Amino acid sequence: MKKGNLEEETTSIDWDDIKRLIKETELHLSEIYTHSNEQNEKILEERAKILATPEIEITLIESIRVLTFILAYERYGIETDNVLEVISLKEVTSLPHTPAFVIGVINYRGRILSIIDLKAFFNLPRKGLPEFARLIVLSDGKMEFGLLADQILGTYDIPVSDIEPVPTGLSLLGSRYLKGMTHNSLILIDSLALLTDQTIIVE
Amino acid sequence: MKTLDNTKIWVKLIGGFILISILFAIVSITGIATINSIVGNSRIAYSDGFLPIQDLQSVKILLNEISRDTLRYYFFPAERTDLESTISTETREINNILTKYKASSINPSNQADFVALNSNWADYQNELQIAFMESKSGNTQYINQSLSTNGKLVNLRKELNNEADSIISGEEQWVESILAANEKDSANATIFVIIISCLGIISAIVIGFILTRNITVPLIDVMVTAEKIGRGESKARVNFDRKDELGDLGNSLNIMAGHIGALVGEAHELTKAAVKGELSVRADPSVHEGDYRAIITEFNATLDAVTGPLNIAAEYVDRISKGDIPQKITDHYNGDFNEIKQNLNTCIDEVKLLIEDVKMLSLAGVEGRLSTRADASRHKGDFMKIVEGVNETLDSVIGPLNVAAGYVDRISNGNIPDKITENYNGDFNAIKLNLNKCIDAVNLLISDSKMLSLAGVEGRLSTRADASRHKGDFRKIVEGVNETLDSVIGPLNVAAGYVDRISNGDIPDKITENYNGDFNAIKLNLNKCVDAVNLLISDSKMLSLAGVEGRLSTRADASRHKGDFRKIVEGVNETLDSVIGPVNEALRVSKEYARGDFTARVSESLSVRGDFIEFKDALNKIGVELSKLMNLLNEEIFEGVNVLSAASSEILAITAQLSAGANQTATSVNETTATVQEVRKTTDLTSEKSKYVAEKAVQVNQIAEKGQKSVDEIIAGMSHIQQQMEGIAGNVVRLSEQSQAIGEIIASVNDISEQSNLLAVNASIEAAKAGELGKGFGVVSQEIKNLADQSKQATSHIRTILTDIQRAVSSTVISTEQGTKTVLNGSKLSSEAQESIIVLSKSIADSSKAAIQITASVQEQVVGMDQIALAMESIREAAQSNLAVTKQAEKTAQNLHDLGLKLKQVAGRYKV
Repeated sequence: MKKGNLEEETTSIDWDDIKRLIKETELHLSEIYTHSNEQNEKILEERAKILATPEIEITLIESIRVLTFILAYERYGIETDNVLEVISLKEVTSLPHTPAFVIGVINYRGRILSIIDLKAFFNLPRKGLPEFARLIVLSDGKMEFGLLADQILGTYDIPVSDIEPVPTGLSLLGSRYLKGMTHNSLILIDSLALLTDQTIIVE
Repeated sequence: MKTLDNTKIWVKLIGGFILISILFAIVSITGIATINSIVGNSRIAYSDGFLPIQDLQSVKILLNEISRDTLRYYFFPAERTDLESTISTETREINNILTKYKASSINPSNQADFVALNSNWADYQNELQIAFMESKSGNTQYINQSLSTNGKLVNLRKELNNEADSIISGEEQWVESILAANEKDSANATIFVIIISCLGIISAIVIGFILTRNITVPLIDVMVTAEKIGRGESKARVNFDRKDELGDLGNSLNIMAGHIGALVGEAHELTKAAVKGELSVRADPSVHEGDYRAIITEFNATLDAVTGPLNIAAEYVDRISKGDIPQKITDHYNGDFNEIKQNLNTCIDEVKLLIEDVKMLSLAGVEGRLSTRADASRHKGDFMKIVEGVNETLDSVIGPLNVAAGYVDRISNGNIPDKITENYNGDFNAIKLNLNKCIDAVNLLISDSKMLSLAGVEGRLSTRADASRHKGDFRKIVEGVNETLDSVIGPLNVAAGYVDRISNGDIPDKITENYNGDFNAIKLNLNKCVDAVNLLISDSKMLSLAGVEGRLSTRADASRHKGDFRKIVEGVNETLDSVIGPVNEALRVSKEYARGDFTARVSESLSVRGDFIEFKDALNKIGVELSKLMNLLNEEIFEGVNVLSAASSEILAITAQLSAGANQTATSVNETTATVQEVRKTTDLTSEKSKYVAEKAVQVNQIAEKGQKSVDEIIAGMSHIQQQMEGIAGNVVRLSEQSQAIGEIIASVNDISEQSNLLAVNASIEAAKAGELGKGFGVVSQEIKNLADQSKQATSHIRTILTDIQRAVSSTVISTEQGTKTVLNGSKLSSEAQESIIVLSKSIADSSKAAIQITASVQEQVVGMDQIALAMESIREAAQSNLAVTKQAEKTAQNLHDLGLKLKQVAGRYKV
């Protein structure tokens, strides 16, 4: 009786099935990483086709290109005209006797670049330096500094007609640096206003 | 120096310390005064200088805060209420500080600045109130003007700041001047203190050195002397003349050394006396004092304690050695003396015991109880050896003595023993040899006398013993015997020859030789005998001749004979008379009997005597008895025939019963045979069963062996599984490491995707800057960004899977561990099973052996049953033959009956 039970227990695991599954998985993995030349060519061809489809351009609509990013759970946009580059922020050197919105400075391509936290500047709730902090480097030729962003979403073309002026009632200081808002509540920041702002320059 | 020596030590020390203390007091007072003045100055500098500086600094900060709050007041109308209260608090604080500063002593140089500050502060406050009013009323122009670089408020603030700064600098200068004065004071005080301290240190060293030398030198002297005394040099003394405490110490030491010296002398004297053996010598304690006297007294007591027991012990040993055994010591002693006492007591006991045993032995010897021995086990050591020696001596003496006594006893009882073969020494050997010689001599005597007596009995009268073989009295005995034999045998031989001839019928002539004494009487008698015999012979010759010729009336003349010879002749005559009458009568009666008439009798008239009466009676009795016999015979036969017929009837009945019984026996035997057959069948069945059991047992044994083999295989399999489990564990660890590596790769891929995402964004920005020309590039960058996003998603997916894998690996590790444990358990269980199977197979082997034995015995049983069947068969046959024999017996009984009847008829034929 006991012997029978043992056999049953041992046969309850279908080793053949497991082996078959492992083999299939191995085959699958090898297929993924070792595409034959034909397959590779096929994939590339498909991609080329997709890329080759002419875009339906609506050139009539005047639009501006904006870089969108997230700041304190809110989506913001900034025109790419004055954006030099987006980089990831690794280490910041803190500076003493600077206003709260200046986090510190970094070495940016051999130059000293001061970093400004708009959350402090706009009195937004702060959550410290995020894990993957991004820095939007702004420049108008004279002034140059970095804006801290929680996350970069990408660049989009936004029709000018979509942009609405900032609703009245916003704070005196805030409205000076805002260009407007879009229908899907993307807040557009005026990069030029920021770059030419006296407070930032003085400090 | 002498005065210093004579001054007491405490005076010297206190004087030195007072001198040094005075110097230190001067130093301390100077230092404390200087420190106090410096502390006072510092306190003034702090309260009048430092605190106002701090306050004015805070005034500046507060002003700054007010100006910042004012700006916020303009720009954030919502916060105005809060800001108003904040600003008023800040204003109040500034007012408080200013009032405090006014109350403190203000430097004259700062007086003008402080007045200006106060007035400007009042203006600033006014202007602030105006600005608040205006901003409330919404007069932006006024505010912009007021807050601009050259605005009234800004200017006033700047002036306030300047005035505060100039007051702070004034105060700072004042504080610095106070600090400089302090430094100067402290420098002066330091120099003074150093000088006085140096003086104090030098004087302390000098005084210390002088005092130390003055005290230590004599102290060392005292110490050395004390050490000498301690080492035993009791004649050492301190040699210095001082009047201080050290001088006293030296004197005391000298006195102590004197006392010790006296004590040592006393001890020396006592020891000398003890060595000489004068144990009675004692020291005189009255010469010493205190503990020394106690020491001497105790010394004397010790000597007493030692010599008392020693004397007693000596006396006891003396008495024991002289043989006067004293009583046991009953006094009480301590320690080693107690041991001596106990040893003496033991010695006394032992000696007493020895004496007792020796007495007992000697008494036993005197009383002849030679087997008495002392018990050596009661003694110890040499005493035991003494007793054992005495016992052995007694053994060696008494053994031979007993043997000799036994031999002598046996010889005296005539039971001559064998020679002594045992070995003895010295005198015992001589005894042994003598005894053996005695035995030899006696044995020889006995053998010779035996030989002679045997020869006498056998008639060999010429035989003589060899006297030369014997010695002493034994030889005389033998010689006497020989001579006696010689003197007896001569006449005896002659008489014997005559008697021999007479008895042989050869009547010899008369003896004519001459003999003496008894031998002559023998000779005459022999001659008479020869005459009488000759006469008898002639008469009997005559009678026999007449008898032969039938002349029965012929008689011999009896008067010619004498004694018995006459009687012989008369007897022969009478015999002839008495024989003839009865012979005739007997002839007649016998003829009657022969005719079958058993009533005939011998005539009564015939006088018969002696044997003839018996003859007559016998003849009559023949008739009587024969007639009686015939009567009896007839009756007896009749009765016998009756009995015979009854008996034969009975026999017939019995034989009938017997035949019935035999029949029954035959049936029973048949039944028994059937039963035996059945039993045999059953036994066959049993035999088969037991064979089957034996076969089964063998099979089971084989199965058990197989089981053992299987268990061995299981154990081997278990260890194999264990190895594989270890392999699995290794694989799992490798898997886990690899998945970690994958995690690292994923992290780097994630990084790469982040980087490419940024790159794509940057590319699109660049494309936008290029305008229409960069548009295509923008699309590509968008595409790259999408790819980066996708790869990011993929990596997060992989991470999830990886987490799952890691979890699976962990659970596999746990399962493997459990599996390993289970396998270990299993192998343990299977080795237990192996043991059980070994035990089982052993018992099965035993069972199979037993089964085989059972089979064998059942086989024997079958054989036994066969034998029983055979026996039953023979019993049956015997029963049948029994039946036949019984029938024959019946027939024989019938024949017997018939025989009885015939006998009856025969008996009737005789007359009685």
